[in-house]
Amino acid sequence: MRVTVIGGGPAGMAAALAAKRAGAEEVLLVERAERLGGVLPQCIHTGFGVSYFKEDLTGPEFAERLERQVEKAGVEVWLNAITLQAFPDRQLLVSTRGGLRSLRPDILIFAVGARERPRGSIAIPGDRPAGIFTAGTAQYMTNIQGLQVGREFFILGSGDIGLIMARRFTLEGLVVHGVAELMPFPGGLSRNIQQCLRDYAIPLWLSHTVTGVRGSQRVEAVTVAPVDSNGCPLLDRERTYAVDSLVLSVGLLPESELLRQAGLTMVPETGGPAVDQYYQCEREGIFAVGNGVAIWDLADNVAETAEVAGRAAVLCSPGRGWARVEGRGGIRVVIPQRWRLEERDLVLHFRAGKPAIAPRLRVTCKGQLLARRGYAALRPAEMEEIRIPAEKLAAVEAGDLIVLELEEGSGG
Amino acid sequence: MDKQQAWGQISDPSPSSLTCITCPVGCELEVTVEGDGNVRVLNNRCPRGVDYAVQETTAPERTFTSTVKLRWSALERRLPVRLDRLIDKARLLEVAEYVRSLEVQAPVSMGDVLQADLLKSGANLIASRSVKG
Repeated sequence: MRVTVIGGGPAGMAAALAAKRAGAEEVLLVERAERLGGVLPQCIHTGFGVSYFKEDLTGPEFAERLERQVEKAGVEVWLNAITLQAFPDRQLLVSTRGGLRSLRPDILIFAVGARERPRGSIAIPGDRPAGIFTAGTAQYMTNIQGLQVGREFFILGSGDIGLIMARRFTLEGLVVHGVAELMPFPGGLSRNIQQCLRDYAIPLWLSHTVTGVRGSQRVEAVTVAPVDSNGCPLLDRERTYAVDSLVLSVGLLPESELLRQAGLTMVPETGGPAVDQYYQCEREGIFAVGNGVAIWDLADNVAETAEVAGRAAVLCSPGRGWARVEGRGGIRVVIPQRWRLEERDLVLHFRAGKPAIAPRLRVTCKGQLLARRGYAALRPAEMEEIRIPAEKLAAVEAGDLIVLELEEGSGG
Repeated sequence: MDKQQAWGQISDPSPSSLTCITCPVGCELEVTVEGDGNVRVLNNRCPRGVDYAVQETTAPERTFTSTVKLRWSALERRLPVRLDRLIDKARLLEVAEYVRSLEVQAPVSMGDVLQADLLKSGANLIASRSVKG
């Protein structure tokens, strides 16, 4: 069996390893950069590997450990190899240093990762000077290229990368004036609010946004205003920060270009393809893993999804049909969106649309209760899960709809 | 900062509430320091929450990571580095400023000690990845 994995980040490496360990004869890992690791080499902070390696590692350490295992396992690796096109029959066109290559593996696993939402997608009015960066670009320039991207910063969006960069800039002796978050709750993990902002007394302005950018050559100032409950800025309460840099940490989106070419349809809530519990897409032999499926909280989650897929791609026999899975009533994201019928427990990963205190979650199918669970709290920034026991799933048939929803009256 | 400006800002948690930063779960701990100095902790999902709360209310510590200038590598300009144990939170900026002045030569292996007992912090500065020469 020939398995090809596109993308050499944590998801791609974990998927290739799992496929090889499950007995696939030929596993090829195709990476467009000149080294493996994806975004991890620039994520120099700790917090990686706590669940996957049972150790608190930095991003580069997490990447290097996986890389060593990939080497040892005998996975073939192509670096500097860009997949130009993918076809629904799994044919691939890959541009390599040795020329254009065409291949058609038995199993194709997309581990293509995510991209940052750019300024254009959030429509900030004002000038177009230098000094506006996405958080990941600022991170790359600081940690990989060793450049100083600015002196005085304002950060829009409270995603984890922005919070991490607020701390990084501060430790580099630079000044972060504040972080504005459009939503009334933070986008990043609570621990990062604590150790990246509160530790350095950097203010976080919830329900605020950047209303303008001023500057001719370089950013000279940004204006910030609170927003009303509809997200409209209250311009009479606008204030100005004299900064030379604006950093955007407004979220990630799964990279979907190759997947669309392969004939897969995207789920609006996740931005990635519909997958089953083994991360198989709606086409036989095509899998998608990691942040290319949905944005996970941690690299550990990304690697774990990839392990599931890599193993299943080699070992699973064809299914006897799929049921659909849908989130409603306060549940924004559910993975998987399809359940391949089988006699095993099903773990659903989900994200709440807004914060909820002490909510109860219910999973039903055809009016039958499959599972119910209470949570201390649900936060949109954190992916949660619920397990449905195999015996409850016995009555579910192909084509049925499994619904995940918060119970009314709970989670006020 | 006037009242109007403070609208919408997250205030520091009250002394009795702490966000545990030991792992990504981020439990919101309720911490009470009793008269005899004993620390009582609620809402922790694992025992590490208690250790964190005790440490944080007595002598707060943090991890430290950064990058240093790298010489003799064709590919890389910076080497990611970390301290191999937590240090006094109050010393982070001082340590960061010192680490900024350091330079390292390739080749380097992940885990190599670049400077032992950095600034007498009790922690070693180690390489966070390997770079060939």
